[in-house]
Amino acid sequence: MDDIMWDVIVVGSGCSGAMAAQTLVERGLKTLMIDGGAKDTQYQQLIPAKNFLEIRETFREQYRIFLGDRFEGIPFGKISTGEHLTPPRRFMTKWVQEFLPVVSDTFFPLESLAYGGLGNGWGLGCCIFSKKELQACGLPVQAMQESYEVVAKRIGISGERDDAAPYTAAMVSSLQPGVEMDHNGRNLYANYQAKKHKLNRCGFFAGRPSLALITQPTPGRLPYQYRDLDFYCDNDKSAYRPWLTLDTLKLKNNFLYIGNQCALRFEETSSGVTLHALHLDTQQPQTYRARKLVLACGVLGTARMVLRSFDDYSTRLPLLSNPYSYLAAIQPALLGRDTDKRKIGFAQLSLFYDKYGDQSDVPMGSCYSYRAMMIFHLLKESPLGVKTAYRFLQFLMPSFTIIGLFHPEKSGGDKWIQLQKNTMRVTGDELHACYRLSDTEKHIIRDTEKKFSWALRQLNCYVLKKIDPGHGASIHYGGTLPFSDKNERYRLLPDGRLGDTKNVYVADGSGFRYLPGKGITFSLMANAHRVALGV
Amino acid sequence: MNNPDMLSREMHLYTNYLIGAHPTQLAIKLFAAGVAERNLLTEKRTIRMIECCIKYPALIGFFDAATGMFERDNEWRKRLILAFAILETQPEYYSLFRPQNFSFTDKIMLLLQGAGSLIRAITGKLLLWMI
Ligand SMILES: Cc1cc2nc3c(=O)[nH]c(=O)nc-3n(C[C@H](O)[C@H](O)[C@H](O)COP(=O)(O)OP(=O)(O)OC[C@H]3O[C@@H](n4cnc5c(N)ncnc54)[C@H](O)[C@@H]3O)c2cc1C
Repeated sequence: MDDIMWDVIVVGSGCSGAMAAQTLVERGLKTLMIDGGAKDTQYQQLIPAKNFLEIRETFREQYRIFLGDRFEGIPFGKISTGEHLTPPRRFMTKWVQEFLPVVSDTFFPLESLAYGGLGNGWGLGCCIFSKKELQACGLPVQAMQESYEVVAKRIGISGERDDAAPYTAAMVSSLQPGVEMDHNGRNLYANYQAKKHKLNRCGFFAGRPSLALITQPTPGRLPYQYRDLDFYCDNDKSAYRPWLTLDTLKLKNNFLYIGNQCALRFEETSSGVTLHALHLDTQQPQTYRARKLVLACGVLGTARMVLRSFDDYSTRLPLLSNPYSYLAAIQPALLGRDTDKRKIGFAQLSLFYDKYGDQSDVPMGSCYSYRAMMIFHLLKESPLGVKTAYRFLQFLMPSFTIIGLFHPEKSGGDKWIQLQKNTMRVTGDELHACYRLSDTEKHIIRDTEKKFSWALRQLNCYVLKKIDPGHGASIHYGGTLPFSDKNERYRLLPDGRLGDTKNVYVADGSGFRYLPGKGITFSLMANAHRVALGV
Repeated sequence: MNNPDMLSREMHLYTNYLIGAHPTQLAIKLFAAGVAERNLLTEKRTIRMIECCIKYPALIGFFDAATGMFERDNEWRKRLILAFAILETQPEYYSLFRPQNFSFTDKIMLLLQGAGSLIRAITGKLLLWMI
């Protein structure tokens, strides 16, 4: 295997890596994918093809799905990044502590060494960056707009062309009809329609989120079935997960996938690039050679590889991560009401705050209803005894609306990462991170939260509590190797090539100089396709 | 305190307190496994609280309200939440946990329960000081 000369090696199988690989394979290039490759072997076979309520009512082994075989699904500690991952999704973080250690008391990212990366659990929310946002990111407008169309066709997107369409991905030509909202979303949306003019005047626009979720039959995938098990399994394959792409690519002659690998560093040679890796189980060193290398290890993973390859344990790279908080709210009109059987766990409604009216610096609130996470998840946060809280939560639950609030992120404050040697670690090093917002940034965030609370009140939705899960919880990272026209180390050239190298490209979000306050993954995929076209 | 007999008695008490029923054999087994997996017996105070609950089951309500209001990280409370989570995932008790319509009387009862909880929390806090 080591002696085969590949055209391209792609490291990473997440949303970015999968999209890049598909483009490379379609171009006819001999493509090798090196990846962590962790898979769920514990739960997927266990979950019956029933809906949430049927499982609750009849399935004896449901405790394994909801609590986990090691009771890891019961939250006892502080709410933190990845806390909301259900037991069947926890495989996403297998090997991470050991092979991707992060040392920080201010930044708590979520990373993955899984087959399909974080895309195994992503919430499917797709947004197109506006022209201004693309420019601020350092991304070419025309090429990205073309890439959005290609990616939308590949993954399948549903949504509606409503007031939120300019901010979501609903303007793509291959849009499928949006999913039905449940009582929670319907109520919010009806209130929005009634107060629309007032809200629009103040810069708020609401509508259906665009989701990478199909609502029409597609070969090999079923339209969405409303089972409300979206955080537990993908039985219908209606949700786009990167492994769907990888499973198809594996059938092609010019593609090979090798999992159980932790890529460590690359080395440029006269004929191309050599990649050094460790086997995740045996920790045996491995090497692979290709003409070109495409890094798609996730922003932090790519930074580790690049710093390690340049043997640099002193440079601090800039870091971007959208500030994020949850607003726990209730809609009083829905208190104590039995709910629909057909339900959706993904976002129901998106609320955008376009304060300048020019689609720049737009924060987004994604509204979810709450059922499939069950009552026990909320108990530890309640100031009441368990018994009283149980009845209160049962009463509140149908009216619960959780709003995930994403703020735009540009450089500022004190935010960086640095690789430091540590011989105790398997990889011989660890990533140190610091994330401190400036006072101005904090002020803007507080102000935005107040504005959102106001807008929600207009929708008869009242915020009970703001939950701050800590920096890094948005699971959106970027900016470590910013795009630049200069061929310098730790910069990406506009085509995605890593400065100061000849054959190394980066296809994930490392180059984004700005992170709009919305889902970035659709843009990560579009960028990966764009980069892969030029490799 | 973590021997099978004691754990079974404890789970019986909590099930009776939370939903007025007997636990299934599976629920008891899961409770024992959960206590071990999540390492929920590290503090002497927890042992004293469990002993009090076994001797005087009526105290559970006071401890529950007090830990909810004043000591949310209390280890005994975590055991009670574990018991609750196990019961919530047993099909036998599904009808008690599923989404429900609340009648006017249910709402009044809920308000009374809330008010009672405040009094129990303060009394429970005094009791917790004593043990
Ligand atoms: C619960 C949840 C909900 C989310 N919801 C949304 C949403 O609604 N909308 C949205 O836009 N985004 C969402 N996200 C964020 C989204 O998942 C990420 O932005 C996206 O998946 C990142 O993709 P990536 O391919 O760049 O990186 P990753 O998914 O991190 O993939 C990295 C890949 O690289 C591999 N890898 C890493 N290091 C190495 C190494 N050293 N050697 C070998 N392989 C390596 C890993 O195995 C993995 O396959 C969500 C994330 C989560 C967890």
